[in-house]
Amino acid sequence: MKSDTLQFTGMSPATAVRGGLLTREDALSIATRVMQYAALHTHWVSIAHARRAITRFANGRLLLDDDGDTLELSVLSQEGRKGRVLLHTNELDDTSLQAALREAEMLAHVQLGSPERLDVAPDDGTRYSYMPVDLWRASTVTAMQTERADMLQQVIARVSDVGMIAAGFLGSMARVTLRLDRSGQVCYAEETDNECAITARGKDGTNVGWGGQAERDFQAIRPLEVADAAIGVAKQAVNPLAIEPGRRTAILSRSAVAQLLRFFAPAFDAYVTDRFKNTPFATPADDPRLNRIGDKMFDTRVTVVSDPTDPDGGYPPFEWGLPLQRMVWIQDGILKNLAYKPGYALRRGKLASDWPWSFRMMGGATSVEEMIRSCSEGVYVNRFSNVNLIDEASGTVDGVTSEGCFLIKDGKIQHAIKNFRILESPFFLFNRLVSLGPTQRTAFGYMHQAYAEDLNVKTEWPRWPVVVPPMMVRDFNFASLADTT
Amino acid sequence: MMLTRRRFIANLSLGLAALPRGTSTAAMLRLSHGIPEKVLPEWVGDVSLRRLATEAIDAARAAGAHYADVRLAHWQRLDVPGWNAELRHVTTFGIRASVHGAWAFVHGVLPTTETVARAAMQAAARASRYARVLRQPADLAPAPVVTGNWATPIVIDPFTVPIDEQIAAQQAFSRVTSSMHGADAGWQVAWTRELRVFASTEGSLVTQRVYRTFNVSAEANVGFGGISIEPSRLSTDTPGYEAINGLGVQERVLSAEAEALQLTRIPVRTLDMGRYPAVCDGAALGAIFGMTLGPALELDRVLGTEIGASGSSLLAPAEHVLGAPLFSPLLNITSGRNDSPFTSIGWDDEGVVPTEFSVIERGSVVDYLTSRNTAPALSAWYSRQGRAVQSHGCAVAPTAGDPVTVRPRQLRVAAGTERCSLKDLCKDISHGVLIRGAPAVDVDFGGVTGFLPAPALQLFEIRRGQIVARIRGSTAVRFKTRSLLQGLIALGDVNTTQSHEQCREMKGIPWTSSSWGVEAPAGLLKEIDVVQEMSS
Repeated sequence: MKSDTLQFTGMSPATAVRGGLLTREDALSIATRVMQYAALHTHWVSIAHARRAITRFANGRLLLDDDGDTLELSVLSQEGRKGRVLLHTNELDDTSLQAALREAEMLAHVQLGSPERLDVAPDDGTRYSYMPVDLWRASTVTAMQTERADMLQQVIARVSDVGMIAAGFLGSMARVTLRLDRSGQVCYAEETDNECAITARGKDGTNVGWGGQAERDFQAIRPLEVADAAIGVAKQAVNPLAIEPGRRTAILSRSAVAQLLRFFAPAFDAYVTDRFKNTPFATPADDPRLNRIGDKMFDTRVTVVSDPTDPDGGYPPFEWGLPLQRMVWIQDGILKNLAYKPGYALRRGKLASDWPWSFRMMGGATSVEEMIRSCSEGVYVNRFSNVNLIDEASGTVDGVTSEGCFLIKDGKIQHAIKNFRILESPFFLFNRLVSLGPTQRTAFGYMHQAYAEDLNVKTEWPRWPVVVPPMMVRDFNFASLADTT
Repeated sequence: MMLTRRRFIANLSLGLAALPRGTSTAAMLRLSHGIPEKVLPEWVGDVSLRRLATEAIDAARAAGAHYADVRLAHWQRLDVPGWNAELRHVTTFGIRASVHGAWAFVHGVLPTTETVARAAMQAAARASRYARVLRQPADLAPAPVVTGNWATPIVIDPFTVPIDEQIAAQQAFSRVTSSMHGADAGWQVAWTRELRVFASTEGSLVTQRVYRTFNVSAEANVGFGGISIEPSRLSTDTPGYEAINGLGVQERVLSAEAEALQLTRIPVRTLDMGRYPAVCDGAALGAIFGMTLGPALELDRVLGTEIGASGSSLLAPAEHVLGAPLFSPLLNITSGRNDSPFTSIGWDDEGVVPTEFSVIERGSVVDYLTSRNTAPALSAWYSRQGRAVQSHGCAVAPTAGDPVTVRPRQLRVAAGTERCSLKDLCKDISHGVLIRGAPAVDVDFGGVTGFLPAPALQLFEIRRGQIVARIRGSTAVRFKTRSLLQGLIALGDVNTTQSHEQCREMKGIPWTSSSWGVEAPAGLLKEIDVVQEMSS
């Protein structure tokens, strides 16, 4: 029996002050050991070690305090041009590792010829440099090891003091990722993140409000302010009226914009655009061009950028072992770039780039209050839920307004209204802008994860950051009533 | 085209011959041991996991937990497409402890005597601190102490079958199906095997070895913008490798292709927006009922614990819903049937044996999907019914490292008792629609409304009882769940019953996925809204 002695081989004492998370040296030591065990056909080894601490509450009570870590070691084996074998394991003792690696090599040996893979970087020994990013905050790691009972009690009390019921969560995460290529190239990133989302609900359940905040630094999280935001919306949301669905002017909060844009990233795939003509950036059949790069497609106020060093929307600066650069996707309404996975980038002579899971959409100077004042009739949406992509070619999503939906008349919020089911493409909306507000990082809260997002670390909780403005748009498609709270 | 055993074996031989030259006899011999147990670390055996579970429970008890349970698991998955394979070995554990009703959960990897004991103590200590600050209800439905072992009934463990043999079988399949004109058939196989141990401070200690075929599909996609039919499983009988050794999968895919070809010959038209009576085949009715009622029947949702996360339930509050005539009196649904090799288990993740029970009788909700810590909320209802408060065994932790929530496992919609085919359901419709196959079903966070988006929707126009057109374009369907279920006019007989295995739900923070199956007959619905998806 080995159970009493099994440990992370290579873990240093420094891990203790990092909430038990591997250091760069720890992770590199493990990856190097794996590489030493591996046979000729191992191309790279990656390690992802994450810890989360989430306190969930509902019905004004603690639901669950959830704390723990996950670990995944991935190894890619490939013989020549045969199919790839990807091994994932979290068993790091020598015996298990060696057995699993032998098994992967055997599997790699019997794979058949491989169709072209677009998401594999050329294995040519090139050494890259990566943009320095600063995504780690010690305060978050400390907070993960600190009890939250008192803070939770304050949040629950804040909501119950106004006769409402609190639900939501306060969560923190720390993650390290390391990749070692067979050429010796090392990519390493460490990041922390926090999200607080609170729903305040009237006792009869008909009025609900939501507030959320996401920050990499726990010290910047203000649970009581988030609770106040939720309470504020819920107080206004009493006795919602049903109004006719249809196309209306809409004022979308940042959280609503973030939810609406959650399938924004895959639309920028260059291969799918060029080859399958199945994104909003595809050219029509009679257009000889591969895609619409260079076309003015949107309102001139639309500019979207991804940048690993963005102070609010930064992210680990590598993918497939390749460096990720600042990418301007849309500038002044003109499509400037698409995302080329390594294989396709090589073929097209482009810079390889991941989809824009994290991005900043430039905003404007109009506050939400000013948008409301300027609106003769419209709908204010605090949040969308259950957003699903239903048409890749147009980027159309369906979903439901939730936790705060109001009728605006004559420059004022007139009344709470019942929720709508929506059917809309953000890419169409970008041509129906009325005004944009200041840009800020936005919390997602719970997301009804879609099939397309499975197993993608950028869409797991907490989702990679997006930085968006509130926006006022005309002719938003509120397709039908959804009488749900 | 019929597939004979001779033809299948001939193609299998071709597939083996097509293996890379480097696949020597020696390599084949090595591989003949399969993927397997040899990779299991010495400590991930039944006995050692049980010992660790007991040690965790002892530690939690010593740290002051009033109740604690632990799940430890070694999980493996093998994807065998032949040109890119994936292999996973994951060992996780999760321990939850309760003190005066406050729950804490600690999870991790690499279970050892030290790590599980530390996690157990941490869970108990955290729960204790919360209990001092917050007042929490502390009920847990009683359940018998259980001990023992259980395994999915299979004949051949797919993880012991040489991978080259698996690839060859897949090649043989491709050779057969690619000969169909205009057809595009694929085969993706993923096997999972899990050894999971559960133990609790009440003395329960059980071990389960569960096999699943995960994400298996065999698709026939015929013609431009054509019909896609997915026989949902390699076999209807077993998640073991014997499913591939049989001829069933090839025959069912070929049959699906033939059916798809036939459907593509139906003229294509557009349909005006409006309300139409709708006939659904068993797969469509199963998908719609499964995705709306499955989550709505989860008692934790009904009690509001998913508000702020995956949502509420149209079947809340329980005190207003239970016993009230909400839906068509034709609607009878049971849950928890535990005789399918694809979904059956020995015990749920609280050590409760799942039982089949009625959730909807003659259109009234009579029970919910429950776990041990949700069932006590129904004590008044159970008392009026003269029934004991008990869990129905619906507690699910998708992995051992995930928190336990209530989830559906298998729902069964009772078929009509009169003889009635799909054709019979259509025959009196002057102008309506037929929905066939399992559509994508998007529901809102309370399950109050639903939407069947166009891309995955197989919609046909019925005139004077006959299918006259296939509806294409951006035609979609939306509905209000309660009206839809009230408008169930007729059900097909048992011969129209189909299984839909792909219902899936995300739940919790962070969200975790679980899937369940629904068995449903064909049905006639009074009306659904046919709408056009947006245009710019």
